[in-house]
Formats: sequence, structure tokens, C-alpha cells
Amino acid sequence: MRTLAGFIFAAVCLSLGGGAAPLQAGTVLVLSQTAAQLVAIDPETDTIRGVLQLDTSPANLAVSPDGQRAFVAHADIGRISIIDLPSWTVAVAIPAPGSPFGLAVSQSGKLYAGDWNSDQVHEIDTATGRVLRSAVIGKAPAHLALTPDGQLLIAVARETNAVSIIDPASFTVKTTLAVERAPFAIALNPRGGSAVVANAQAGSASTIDLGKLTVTASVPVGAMPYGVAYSGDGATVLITNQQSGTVSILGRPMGSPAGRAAIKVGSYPEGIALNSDSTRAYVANWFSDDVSIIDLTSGKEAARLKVPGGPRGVAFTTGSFGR
Amino acid sequence: MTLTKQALLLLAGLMFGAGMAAAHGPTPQKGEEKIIIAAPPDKVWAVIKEFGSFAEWNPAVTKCVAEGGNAAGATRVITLKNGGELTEGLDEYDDKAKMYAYRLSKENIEVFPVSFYSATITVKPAGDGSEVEWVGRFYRADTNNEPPENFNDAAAVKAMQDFMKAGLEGLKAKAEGKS
Repeated sequence: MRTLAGFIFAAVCLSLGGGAAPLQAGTVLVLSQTAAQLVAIDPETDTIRGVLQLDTSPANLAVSPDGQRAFVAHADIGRISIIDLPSWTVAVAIPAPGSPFGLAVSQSGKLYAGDWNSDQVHEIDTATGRVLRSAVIGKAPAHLALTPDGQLLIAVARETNAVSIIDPASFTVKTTLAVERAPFAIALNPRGGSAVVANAQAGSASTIDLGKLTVTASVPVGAMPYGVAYSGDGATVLITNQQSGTVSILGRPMGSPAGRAAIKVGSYPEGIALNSDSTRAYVANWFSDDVSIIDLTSGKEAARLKVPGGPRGVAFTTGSFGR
Repeated sequence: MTLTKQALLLLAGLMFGAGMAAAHGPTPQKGEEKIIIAAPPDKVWAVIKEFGSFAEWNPAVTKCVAEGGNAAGATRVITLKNGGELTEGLDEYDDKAKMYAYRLSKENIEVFPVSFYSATITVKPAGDGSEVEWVGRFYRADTNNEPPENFNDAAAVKAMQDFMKAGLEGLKAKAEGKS
């Protein structure tokens, strides 16, 4: 077994074309829609370590809980690419109904995908691409989130100004919660119990109590919020404001005074993700084709890294492989 | 027979409406136009700084009826050269930075094949004069897959480019005192 593992490790290193595997746990993945490329950034050096060519107009990205696979939705061509991260290859591309956008992957490997134009969320078998079950939610399903225990699947319905909570077991809508105008992105509190939804046209963020299934508060942020992420301790929420070109920090920013702050980033920021110890945030600036790296201790943009055109999604790989 | 025809028309209308489901799609497009103007930034900004003055400098706009001044939340109903109307809302206004940002609040894809946009116009110093930058994020008119040619990404990109180019040329002419 040891020999086999060693062999696989060597093969992985070779396929990545270098002595060191670029994709260790904690690698930053950035999805560039215009360039149709997935980019791997080494967070220790903040340099690009790999670029993977994809099918046309990849719009959204999700990483499986075990960190082994990335899923990419190609809304315009009704396809989802499944990327094997250790080998840094597109393992398979499966058809998905309509215009797939929102994605979530369960611990057991079930894939959920929203269809922007048919107002449905589908449960898809990743091996065959077969749609197993479907649930009708509000109009224009945007981002999806699945609680780690797999008990709640939350689908944002942009054109209905609502969030639908789906019971993954029965695959039916448990309840629909009204938020504010044009909700788009969602993040789950890593400590559990709550979620935050960014309402793009309202310029606000709504918090949801996932126990009571109620909206607990809505607070103003910048103009056109399109991305949201929590710090690891669940105390801070970061929101990208596309029209303002800023990141709002709600709660208690780490190492800085309590309250609210807005950090200037690149042009039309969208996806945002934090590293495992919540010291840095990576923000995809869709218009300026770069990634802003925010030092959350100082509350300042530490660096801006050029990436292939139209970056939208950001995710960290969580699994440990390649080393 | 008349009834059948009416029913068919109604049905066609419903189907068309359903097809145009989302006023915003999953895959945005970029618009970016710039122009160098031989006039100081203050003078250029003075031409465009009123959110409701759109028709005075943009030749693609024949009429502009605005409400709410230059405060976030202000609206303007613009009439395009071809007669159609669009409604836009002001999101951010910064007199000091000489920029404002706005969005489409009521689309009209028959006259402008874009289902949703947000855009920002900024006046910056450039040498002895100014540079005006106009950027936008927008979506094709028909956000379904395989849209008809007049409602696809290429049509949206062309409409947005033409609109911005005409506007910037008009602004240049006005700010340089040539119109």
C-alpha cells in the first residue's frame, strides 16, 4: 500500500509538471468566466501555480467537502464540468438541465444544481449526469448552499426576492423566506445556525436563522453586493460590493476596531473566500481581471494579482492531497 | 375565428413573456469605453454631473426626465433615438471623485437588447485634459440558452458599445465647445 501511495504521489507530481505539487490543501481556486479557465493560486507565495482550460463561459464554482473535486457550471451550454483536483484535470463533463448556475455538493457526493431559467433545483447523479429529483423554487435560482450535516439546502431565488429552504431528504421546499431585492450570493456561518444572503439590487445583506428558519435582520452594505463569506469563527461577514468596488466588513473585523469598514478592491468584485485561519481574503475582481488579497489583520488590500479574464468565483481547496 | 386569433396572440405573448423570464442572466458581459477630451476635468464633469442631464450630452438619448436630483435612489426615464424608453436608477454619486454609478431599473429589450446593466462613468485628469471612462456589466436580452441573434451576447455587446461610444463622442464635442 505504501508503495502504491508513493507511486500515485509521484505520478501526481509529474502530471503537474514540477517537483512540488501545486495543489495542496488551502490552495485558492479562481474561476475566470471570459477566459474559461480555472486558476490555482498558492497562498503562501500568492503566485499562480496552475491554469486549467475549461469549456465555454464557466459561471460558478463549488468544491466538494472532501476537497477532491471542483464542480463548474457552464450556464450557457447546460453543462457541469467535474474537475479532479489532485490530477488537475477535467475528469468528466455532464449535461445539466437548462442554465445551471448555483452548485452545492454533499458529503456523500450528491450534486445539487440550480437552473436559472426553469426556476428549479436539481439533484444530479455525478456518475451519469442523470437528474434524480427536482424542486421548483422561486425565479432565477442563483447561489446554493448545503449545511454540512446535509439537512438543509438553501437556494437563493433572485427574481423572487426570496430564499427557498429545501429538505434534501424529501427534496421538497420546507419554506420560503422573503429577503430584499435581487438576492444573489449566500454563505453559511461555519459555526452553524445562521446564513447571510447578499441582496444585489437592495444593497443589503440579510441574516437567516437556520434553526427557526426566519430572517433575523437586514443591514445596508455597499452598492450591488454580489459575494459573501464568513470568517472561521463566524463573527465577521465579508461582502463584495460590485458597483462600489469595495468589500464591506460586518461584525468585528479581526484585529481592528469594532464596527463596519469598507475596503477598496479592484473593479466589480464578486466571489470572495477566506483562508483557513481567516487572516486573508481573496476577492475575484470580475472587471479588472485580478484578485485582491486582503490582509484581515490590517484591514487593507495587501496585493493584487493579475488572473485570466473575467474572474468570478473563488474557493479554497480543503482536502489534503499531493503531499 | 377572431377569438381563436386573439387566444393565439395571447398565448404567444405569454410564451414570449415566459421565455424572457429573468431580467438578469447568469453570464455577464463587459462594456468599457474611454475617451480623451481636451478640456479640464472640472469642465467635463460640469457637463455630465447632473444625473438628469443625460439628453444634453448623449446624442443617443433624445429626452431625459429625472427625479430625485443627484442622490442615490434618483431615477431617470430616458428616451432613445429610436423612440423607446428605459428607466435608470442612481446608485452612487461622488462629486469629488467626479463619478456616478447607476443601473437599469426597467428594461426594454425591443429598443435596447440588454436585459440588465449597471454602469459607472468617471472623469479623470489626463495630461492637460481629461479622460472619461465608462464601464458596465450587462446581460443579453434573452437570458435563455441559444437566444435569437437579435437578443444574444453579441447583440447586447454591440448595443452597449454603440451607446457608450456615441455618448462619449457627444460629451467630447460639448466639453471641447464644438457643439
